[in-house]
This record gives sequence, structure tokens and C-alpha cells, in this order.
Amino acid sequence: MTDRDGLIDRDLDGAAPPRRAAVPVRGAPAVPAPRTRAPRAVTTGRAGRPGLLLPAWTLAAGLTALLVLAPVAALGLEALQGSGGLWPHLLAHVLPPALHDTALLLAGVGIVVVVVGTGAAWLVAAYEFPGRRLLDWALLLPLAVPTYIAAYAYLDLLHPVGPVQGAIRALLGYARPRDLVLPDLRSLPGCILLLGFVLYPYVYLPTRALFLMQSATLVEAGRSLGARPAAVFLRVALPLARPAIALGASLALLEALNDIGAAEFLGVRTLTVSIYDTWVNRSDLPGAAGLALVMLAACLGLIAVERRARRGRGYAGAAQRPRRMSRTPLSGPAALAALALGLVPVALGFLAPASYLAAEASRRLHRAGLSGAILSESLNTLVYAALATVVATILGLVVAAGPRLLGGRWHEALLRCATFGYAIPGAILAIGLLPPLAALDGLLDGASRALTGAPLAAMGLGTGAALVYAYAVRFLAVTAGSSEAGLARVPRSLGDAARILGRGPVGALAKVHLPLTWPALLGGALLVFVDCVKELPATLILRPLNVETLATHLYGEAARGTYEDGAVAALLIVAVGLLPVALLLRVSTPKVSP
Amino acid sequence: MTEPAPSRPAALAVEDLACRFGRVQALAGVSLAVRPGEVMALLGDSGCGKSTLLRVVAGLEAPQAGTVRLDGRLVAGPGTRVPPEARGVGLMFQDYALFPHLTVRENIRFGLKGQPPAAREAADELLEQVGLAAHAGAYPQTLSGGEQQRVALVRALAPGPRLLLLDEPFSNLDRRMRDRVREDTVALLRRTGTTALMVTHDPEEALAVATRIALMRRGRIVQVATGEALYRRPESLFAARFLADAAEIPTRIAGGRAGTPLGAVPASHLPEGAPVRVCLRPEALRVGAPGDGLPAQVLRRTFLGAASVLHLGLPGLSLPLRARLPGPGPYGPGDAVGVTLVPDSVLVLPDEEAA
Repeated sequence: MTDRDGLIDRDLDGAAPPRRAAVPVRGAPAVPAPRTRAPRAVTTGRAGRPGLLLPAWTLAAGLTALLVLAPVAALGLEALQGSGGLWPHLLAHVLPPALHDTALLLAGVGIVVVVVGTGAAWLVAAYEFPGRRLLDWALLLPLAVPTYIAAYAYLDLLHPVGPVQGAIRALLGYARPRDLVLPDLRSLPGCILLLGFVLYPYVYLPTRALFLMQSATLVEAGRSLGARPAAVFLRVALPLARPAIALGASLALLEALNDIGAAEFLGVRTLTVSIYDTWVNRSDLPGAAGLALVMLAACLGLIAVERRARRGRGYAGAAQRPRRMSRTPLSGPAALAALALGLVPVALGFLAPASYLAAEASRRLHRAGLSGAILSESLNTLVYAALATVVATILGLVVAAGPRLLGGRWHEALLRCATFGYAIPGAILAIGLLPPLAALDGLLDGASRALTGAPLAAMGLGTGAALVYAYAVRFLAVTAGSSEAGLARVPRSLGDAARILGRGPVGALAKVHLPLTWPALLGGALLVFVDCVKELPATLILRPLNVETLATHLYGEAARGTYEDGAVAALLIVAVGLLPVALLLRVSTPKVSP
Repeated sequence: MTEPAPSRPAALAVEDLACRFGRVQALAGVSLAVRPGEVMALLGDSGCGKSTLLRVVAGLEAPQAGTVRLDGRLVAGPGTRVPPEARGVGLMFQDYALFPHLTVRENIRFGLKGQPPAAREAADELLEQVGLAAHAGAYPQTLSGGEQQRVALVRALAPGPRLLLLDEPFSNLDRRMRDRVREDTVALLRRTGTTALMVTHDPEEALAVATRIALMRRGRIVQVATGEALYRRPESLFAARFLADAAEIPTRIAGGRAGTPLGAVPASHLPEGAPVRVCLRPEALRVGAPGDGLPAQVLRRTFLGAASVLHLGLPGLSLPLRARLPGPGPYGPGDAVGVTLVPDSVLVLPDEEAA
């Protein structure tokens, strides 16, 4: 049925004729004189305004898709050029350990996020206990903490001379750090736990929504067939929630792959770290591109696995609004245990790092006040994030509205291409953008020299346009997805009605679809803004010389081992990151009758 | 199909329309003409293509073959594709499709862009005529179903369309309200002199509203006729069955007559030996005292209020016949009665299934 839309709206040559009101003017009798219908000629000649707008729309959608695919194509070309004698070295000494560590990291993080996220979701969906409502949203808070900030905070918190180890030693009566050696966070298991407890909300969020959407009757059927609550969870609820878990886990793992700060701070040589290192320290762009292609393959593999896990099964249940599964009330020690259990991930993923950052930041502010650097970095962060948000929102709307406005498989394909960016980690995207932007800069510079004799200041790489480009490409999937979801909720007959009442496709979009979808668009824009503020790897590579954002400042301090304004920057990022948590909670709570 | 007067082109003329969605042939060669000022009903089961035909006429779907002309002007055909906003037709949607973000007045004025201010006044007047002036500032979702229906109707009429298309306009209303809204709608259509094409699956609705009815089946037009002609002289068994239930007696034509246990029925228009079905609707039987006609026995009586239906067993007939009597009627189960045929109301139709 979808490509029925494709059959319409192609030919827009007929100009809209004037219409006449059907009723008599005031004072005339109720029965009007027979109407004279103005004859309307068929114009098949020059196209009117909408006739020009639509090809422009297609062109814009096509260009957007091209912008997204360009860095990937560039990566391929760059890798093909070979990296001199270095590629054998990379193949022998860099790639195997990086793959090994990355695989272990992904497996470990996968297990942690699935266990913690699903367990937490079941806890708040199936049981009622004091504090449950609080836990409902508090479990989302770690979303506000980027992985590199969690690592930054925990490195200091768990430092051998830091507060936690100090307290443990004091409790056990040891005087010196070397008397009691605790496991070091700077290890693969440490990195797994840290990423897991920060990234589990990606699983918690969709799984919780799915548990809440599940019809009570399914669970009750399980109970009536003799299964105990635990068995119902394992045999009914869990298999039904599989697509949500798969989706959440794949997003969490993409984040883990995207991470560069945490892994580097904790000394884990993942693929991302290796790519960055190959480019920055070895200045080997082709080598980095080769590694990036390997990593891109890993990302696509992840997505393929997730698609496979969701394939072909019915999960949605009945079409009507289902009765919500009633929560089992807990009381006494059981309720307390449930609350304590639920608070563990919140404490580890948010409370501990956030309160550490708050304490450190306030100490710093007391001592040195708000530094000018932080202010200008905040401004930089804000400007780049805001620009990228505007660009991504507009382009997202353009590609998402394509199938609706113009129909056809062609626009559907453009939409898929344009939203491919979420699968490309920031570091890969940045590496992929370097060659084409450098080439473009060179071209423009050459043209400028030839024409005016004066060299041109760098265009793409120097101005931050590259950064905005990278952000927009990376997060286009978010804005396009929210536009698409919003547009899909507008009944088709409303758009048809607008057409019948004399508006062209673009007019219908402006007067009917947009006013009805702007909350979804704003929601998507907010998510993108926050993601841009948090983004680290692409920012590190693509920011203009001598421009620092909050994220790069924090990275710099952590990399140097200094802790000056880092906590303030981190706290600001976390504060911005809290914005969408409330929004996410509201959006992901299904509306079902009580 | 009767052609419109040659001096004036048909308000809508559709020729050989074909439309296919994947494997579904929604329209398989549809030809139809709607005369200026008439209200035509497109009657058929769900999935027969009637809504598709409406959407093709509106310009929301493109036909694969055939032409659509509005007042003689080609709007769809080989190489021509006038978009919906340039066709000057109105469409009232089954779900009304009222814009939830606009008030009633804004909804009604939506189609008046680029028209003189008088058009707005006229639209307001129309709103007043349907008794909704007090709700002009309200949002549609706060109105009742009947009120929403009227807003949708006024919105479709406000721009003065040359042809109004209505897609199951009364199906979202409950039964009590439907009759009144139907009458009001027809009155408004007549008052504004609007030509209309209305899709419905309800024969009673088509009979009540339409000047003529086009009966559709599997993407084709089966018969176009006035309601009375379609009811009383259906050209096919399908048409007869669609309009009303009937007891069917299969038989063959012999000597220009169709023989039944109740007597032979003249059927000179059908070839000798052709398999036919004699359709007996409740009004085709007259029930009287025993001895008055063929003897029969009342098996069951269904009381409907204004009328009652008798189920009658007749010797030589395996299935019971039904007859309608005004009020409760004097007969009850077990009573013996006499039955005679009302020749004008008996239908003899070719048996499509036996052929």
C-alpha cells in the first residue's frame, strides 16, 4: 500500500483555478441561484511554483544522502591508496590486539547492559514498591553521563589515593596504599563495568516501554497455565521483549564502539583508540582509514544481528489498547530489597560520578572562580551544537518528508541512506571527512590563488563547518527518525484533505503536517543538541585549530592527568545531558488504559 | 447507461478506468457519467473498488488506463494528470479528516485561500445554516460525531466545488442520528445545487439519498439506474441480492415461463431452457386465509415493530418463504394460511452460478 502514494502528485502542471463560494451572499434566500461554474482550461504548459519546488525537494534529499555517504566513500578511496609500508605493520601489530580487545569489550558490555537494563525494566514494570516511581525515571539518569566523563570521574574517585580506596583502607585499618592493592579500574574488566553501568539505559528504555505495552492477558495466561512469576518472566515476558532488548543492546554497543575517551583513559586499546592513534601519532591517514573500514564493518554487523533478532516474530500483541499489566505489590524487606537493587545502577551510573563532579566543580569554583576559558568553551560548544541541530533538523525533515510528499521507492531509499550516519562512529566519520574536505579546501585555495593571487583561508577544515557537517551527518538519523515518526502519525486523509482543498504538496506539509508534528521535531532537535554537546571523537579531530569545546577541554585535561577546570566542563555537559531524560521518559511511556 | 443531454457535458465522465495496486485490480474498466445537479450513489461491497474510483476522480490516485473528465475537461488520461488541488472537486472523507490544530472556522476557510472576502462570509453563512455558528471557535475534536460530520460537509462545500465526492459520509454515525443527518445533507446538496457522487455500502442509504445508483462489483459497474428501477428491475442476480434478501427458487425457462411450485411466472425475455432463479422478496407474496391461494403453514413469526415477517413452509419447497405483514399480523406459528404471488414483484433472473 505504501507506494500507492507514489502514484500521485507527479504531474503538477494544472494551475489551480479560482473557486467560487457555494452559498449566496448575506441576505439572499436560502436557495441560491444555480451556480455558474467558471470553465477551467487545462494547462499543460509551464509548471507553476509547486512544479519547481518538488524537483528541488528531491534534489535536496538526494544531496543530503550524498553528504552522508561521501565520508564512507572517501574512507574506501583513502584505504585503497595504501599506507606505504605501514599497513603490514598495522595488520600484524595493531589490528589483531585492537580487534581482540574490542570484541571482548563489546561482549562484556553487551552482557552487562542486557542484564542490568532488562532487570531494571522488569523491576519497575512488574513490581510496586515505595520509591518505584522515583526509580522509574532515575534509572534513565546515566544517559546524561557520557562515557568519557564517567571514566574521568571514576579514575579520580577510585584512584589509589582517592576517596573510595582511602575509605576502604581506613575501614580495614591499612595505612598505606601499597598495603592493600585493590583491582585497578584501568583494565578491560574495569572498562566493561564502567561502560555497562553508563550505557544500560539504552536497553532499559525500550524494554521498559515494551513491558508496559505488553498486554496483561499474556502474563495472566502464563500465570493461569501454572507458571510462577519468575517463570512468566523467563518464558513469556523476556521472549516478547527480545526485539526491544536487541535494539537497546545494539544502540549501547554502537555507543561503546563510538567511545574514545573512556577506553583511552582506562588504557584499553580498542579499534576507535587505534584509529585515532594511527592518525594523530603516526600521521597515517590511509592506515586509519583502513582500520575505520574494519570498524564500520563491525558496526554494520551489529545492526545486521539486531535486525535478524527482530525478524519475523509477532511481538506487538493485540491492536487495541491493552490493559496494563498490574504490578505485584511488595512490602517489608522485599520492597526495601527491590528499591536497593534498583538504586545500584543509578548510584553507579549517575549519582557517584555526578556528585563527585559537583563537589570537585564547586571546590574549583570556590578556589579560582569561573575561568574565562570555560566561558568561551561553553560558547563554542553551544554555537556548534546549535548550528548542527538546525542543519540536522532541516535536512532530517527534508528527507523524512520525501516519501510522504512525493512518494515512491526512490525517496524511501534516500531516507535510508541519509539515516545511515548513526551507524558510523564519530572517529570514522571524521577520518572519512578529512580527505574530501582537504581536497575541497585545496581546490578553493587554488582557484583563489589563480583568480586573485591571494591564498584563501581554509574553508572546510578551518572554520568549523566540517564539525557542523560531521555532527549533522552523525545525528541526522535522530531528526529524520523523529520527523518520520511524527509525520506517520498524521492520518493520510488529513494530507489528502489539504490537497483537495486546494493546497499543493508543499502547502499541505506546511499547513497541516508541520503544525501537527512540531513536538516530535522539537524532541528530535533536543536529542541532537545534547548529543552534539556530548560528542567527543569527531570534535577532537575536526575542530578548528585552537578551538576548544567543553568535551575536548575535558579530554585534554584527562589526557594530561590534570584536573583543573575539567570537573566544571564535565558538570556542564552532564547538566545539558539531563534535559532530554525527562522528554525520553514521557515519550517512552506507552499510553494504556489503567 | 443513459447518456446525458448532448448540449451539456456530464459533470463527471469516466471512461474505461483501470487501476491496479500490486496484484489487486481495484478498477477493471469502469465507465460512468454523472449529470449536472444529480446525486449519484456508488454502491458496492467493501473492496469492490468504489473508494478507489472516488480517489481517482479526486486525483489522489492515478489510473493506469482510461480517462476522467470534469465538465468536459480532461483531468486524467494518457499524458494528463491534473493534481487534486487543481481539479475543483470537493471530497468529504469517511473519517472527516478535520484538521485537529485548526478551529471549526479555520477548517472551513482552509479551502478559501485566494478567494474574495465574500467567500468567507458565504462559508460562515453555510456554517450558520447547519446550526454550527456557535461552535465556530471550537476545535473539531470537542464536537460530537454529528457536528463533526456537518463541519466536514461545510468545509467540502465552502470552496464551491463543481463536484462533491462523499466517502461513506454517514458510516461513523449511530443509527438514530444517521437518518436525520442524511436528510439534512441531501437538503443542503439540493439547496446548493451541488453535483455529488457518494460512496456507500448500504443499499438503504443509496436509495434514500441518490438520484441514481451505480452498483459496483469487483472493479466494474454492474448497473446504473434510479433507485426504484434498480430495486424493482435488477438486471442480475447480484443486483437483486444486493438490494434485498429474497428466497430463490432455481428452475428453467419452459414455454416462455419459469415454473415454480407456486405457479409459473412469465419470463418471455429469457431464452428457452435457460437456467434461472425466481426471486421472491417478502413483498412478492400475499398471505390470506386458508383456501385463498396455495396452502402453506406458518413456521415462525418475527415481530419487527411496524411489520412482522412470516416464515412459511410450502409443500414442494425445501426452503421456507418469507412474507411481510403490517403490524403484528393475525397469524402465528402453526397456523395454516393461503399464499398467492404478486406477479409484478416477482423477479426472474438468469442463474449466473448454474451457467
